[in-house]
Amino acid sequence: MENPDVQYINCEMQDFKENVMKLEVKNINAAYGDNEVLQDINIYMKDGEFISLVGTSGVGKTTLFNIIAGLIMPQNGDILLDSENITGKTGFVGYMLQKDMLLPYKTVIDNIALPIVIGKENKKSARQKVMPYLEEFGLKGYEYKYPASLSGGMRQRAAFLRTYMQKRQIMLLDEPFSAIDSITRANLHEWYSDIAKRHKLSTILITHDIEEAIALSDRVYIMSGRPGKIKGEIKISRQGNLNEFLLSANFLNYKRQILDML
Amino acid sequence: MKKKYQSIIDILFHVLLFAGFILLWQMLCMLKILPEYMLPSPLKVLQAFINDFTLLASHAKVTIYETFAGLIIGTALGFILAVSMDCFGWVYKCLYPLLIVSQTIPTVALAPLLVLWLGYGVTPKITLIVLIVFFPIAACLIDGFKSADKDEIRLLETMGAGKFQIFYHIKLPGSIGNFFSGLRISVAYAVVGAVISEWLGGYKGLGVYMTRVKKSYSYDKMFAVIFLISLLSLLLIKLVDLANKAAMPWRKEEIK
Repeated sequence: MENPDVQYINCEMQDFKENVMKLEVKNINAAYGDNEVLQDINIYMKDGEFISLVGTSGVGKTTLFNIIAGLIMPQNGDILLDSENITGKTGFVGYMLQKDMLLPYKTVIDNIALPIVIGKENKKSARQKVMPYLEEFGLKGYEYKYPASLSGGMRQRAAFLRTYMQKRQIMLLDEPFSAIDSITRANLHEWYSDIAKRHKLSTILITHDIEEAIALSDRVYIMSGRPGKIKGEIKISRQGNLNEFLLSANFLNYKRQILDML
Repeated sequence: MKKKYQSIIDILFHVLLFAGFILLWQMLCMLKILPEYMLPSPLKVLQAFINDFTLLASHAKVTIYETFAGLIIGTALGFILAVSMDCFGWVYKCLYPLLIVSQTIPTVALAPLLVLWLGYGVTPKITLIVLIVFFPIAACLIDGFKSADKDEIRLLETMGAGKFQIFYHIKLPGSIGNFFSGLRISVAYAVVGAVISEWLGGYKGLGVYMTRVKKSYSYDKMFAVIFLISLLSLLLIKLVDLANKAAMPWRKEEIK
C-alpha cells in the first residue's frame, strides 16, 4: 500500500531541488581605493534562467561582472555557484563583452576554438569540436575567413559561439548587442533567446537598454546610485512571440515600472 | 581593376622620373658642364660596374654575409630583450633607461673601437650591426607588447589562460606589425653599418673596395659601388615587406 506521507516528502524534495540556486551573489561590496563602487549586492539565478542588470553607466555593472567572473576580489561577500564558493576564481563562467573581441589575426574557426586551445587541447581537435556548431550559428562557409571580412552580426554570433565553446554553465553578457544596428540587434535577440533555450544556458545580461532587458529576460534587476545598489527586481512573464510581446500593453507596463525605479 | 590600373600608372611614373634623372645626369656629363673626374657619366659608371663585376661580387658576398649574420643575431637579441622586459617588470625598469642612453652614442664612433678590440676580421662588423639592429627591434616590440588590448587579455583570463598563453595568443601576434616596422629600419641601417665598419679596417667587403677605389681616384667605380650598396638595401627592404605580407595574411581581407 502506498504511503501518502512518503509521496508528500518526495514531492517536497523535488520542489527543493528545483529551487536550488545556480548562482548566488551574496552581500557583495567593492571599492577602487576609497571609491566605493558596489554596496551590498544580492542577486540569485536559477538554472536556465535569463536575468538582466539594468542601470545607467558608471553604476558598477561591469565591476560586478568582473567579480562574478573571478577577475576582481570583492571587499566582502561571496559568489556561490551550485552552492560552492567561487569568489576570486576564474574559469567558471563564460564572459562576453560589448566589443566582439575577435582576434584579427586568427581565422574565425581559430577564434572560436580559442577557449578549447587555452584548455590545453591541440588546434586540430579543437577545430573539430567547433565544426558541428557553425551551421547553427550561421557561420558555415566563413570558418577560414578572418574576422575583418565578417558583418557586425556575424562577428557577434562568432563571439557568442566562442563564449559558448567554453561550456560554462553561466554566460555573462556585457552589453553584447549595443554596438549593433537596431535591425540586426532585433534578429540577434530572437536568435539568442532561441539558442539559450535550446542549450539551457543560464544568462546574465548587462544592458542600459530597458526594452532589450524586458524582451529577453525572465527577471530584471534594476541597479542605480553611486555606489551601485540593487534598487529592485521585476519578474517578466511573456506570452506569445517576441514581436507581439514588444507591442503589448504589458511590455509598456514593465517599462514604466523600471523607469520609475531608476 | 581601376585600382590595378592606377598602380601601373604609379610605377610607370616612378620609372620615368628615375630615367629622366639619369638622362639629365648623362647630359650634364656629355656637355662637359661638370668635369669627368668629379662626376663620371652614368654610362661610365655602368661600364665600371660591368668590368669590375666579379671583384664587386666577391666583396659584396662578404658584406651580405656580415649583414645577415648581424641582422639575425641582432634581431634575436632584440627579441629576447623585449620579451624579458615584458615578462619581468624589474628588467624593464633597469634596462629601458640604459637602452635609451646607449642610443645617444653614435654607432659610427664605436666602429674604430670595435676594430681596435676585435681586429680586422668580420667580428667587429657583425658586432656593430648587432648594436645597430637590436635597438629598433627591441623598442618596437616592447611597444607592441605594452599596447596589447587590456580587454583581450581580460577575455583570455576568463578562459583561464596563463601568462604564457596570453603572451602567445595576444601579445606576440599583435606585435608582428611592430616587429616588421622595427626590422625595416634595422635592415636599412644594417647595410650602411657593415660598409662603414669595413671602411675603418678590414680585408674584404664593399667598404674595403670603396676605400681602395677612392685611393686610386677611380670615381666611376666609387659610384658603381654606391649604387650596388643602395640596391642591396632596397632589395633587403623589399624582402622585409614581402615577409611582412606573408606573416600577416589577415591584412589582405582588411583592405577589401
